Amino acid sequence: MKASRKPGEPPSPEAAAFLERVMEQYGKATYNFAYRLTGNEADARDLTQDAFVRVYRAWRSFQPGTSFLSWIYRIVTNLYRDELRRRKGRYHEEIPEDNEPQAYGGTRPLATNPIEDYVAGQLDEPLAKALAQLSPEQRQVIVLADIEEYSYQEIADIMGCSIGTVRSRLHRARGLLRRLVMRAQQQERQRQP
Amino acid sequence: MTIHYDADILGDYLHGELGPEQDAAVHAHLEGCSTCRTVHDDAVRLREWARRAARAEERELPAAVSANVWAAILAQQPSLPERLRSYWRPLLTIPVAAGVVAAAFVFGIPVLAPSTPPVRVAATYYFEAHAAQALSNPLADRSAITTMTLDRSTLPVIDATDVDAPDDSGAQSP
Repeated sequence: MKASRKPGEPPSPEAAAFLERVMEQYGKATYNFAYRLTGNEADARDLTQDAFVRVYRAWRSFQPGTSFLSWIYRIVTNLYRDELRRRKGRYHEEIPEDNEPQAYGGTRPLATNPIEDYVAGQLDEPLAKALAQLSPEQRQVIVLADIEEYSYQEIADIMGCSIGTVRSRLHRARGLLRRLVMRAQQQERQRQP
Repeated sequence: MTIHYDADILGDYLHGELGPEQDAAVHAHLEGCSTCRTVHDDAVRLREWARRAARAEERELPAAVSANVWAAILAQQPSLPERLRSYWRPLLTIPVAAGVVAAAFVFGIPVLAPSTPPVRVAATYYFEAHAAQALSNPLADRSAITTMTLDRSTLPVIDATDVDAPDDSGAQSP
């Protein structure tokens, strides 16, 4: 669907109200979903922003009574897939936009050294660490099935693939995740005196 | 020989994706099979761990996101020339439209013009008609009658489209 606003036209009150409401209601869930897919805050923020801009452009196509989260997760998934394709084979260096304290931490600055920040984040977050070792598709399916608790059919709709693909990806991802968690637990036990 | 379910089937069972019959069969099997129950419980623990970790790692939406979304939407605003054009367009359209209407009124619109040729009346008609009127009216200016002596061939032909066209009897045979 085309943009709900013509060039030069201010945002319509209905579109603005819709966007405000869904950002307030689903912004956090969308951002966390994006964060679990990307594994870093800068990409998660960009993905969330792009997803809500798309929601605004196509807000009239949203059917009341259907799941908004499923819709925006689908948008995020597609944007993420497009971004992965765009970056494929290209070295990506994260450049911090500023050094302001972040909203969630209060005093923690944005990544001054991306590698240090990444490692520090991984130590605090076993799930993020485990998910980072899965392929993007496996990560998506684990997040949607085991964390967001969607059915196979819903996951297939969100990811744009068949139920059989969802099932096979999920089984492989669960097996890999199980091995990763067991290994992490073993390492944790070995570190303890 | 005891048959065991593989981890995939147990995963589907855990996710509630099996059909009613197979779901009931797996459920009954788990009651009596410690091997399958171990695999199942392991999958349950993994899922619970993932959910717990997800809740613990949950982040607040950065405040900048909402502002950036609106900034991106407003960035779709047209450029300055486009905005100026859209501003001037109504101001120019009304006078131009009024001018077109006025020109059509003054000069006539070709497409609305009658297809028949305009009535052409000899200039002599007006002199002759005036002379006839003067003759019939005793109080009229008799000097006008002298115009009847004018040579008709020297008088122009007047396009009578925009003047009151006389009826045929009066115009052609005064």
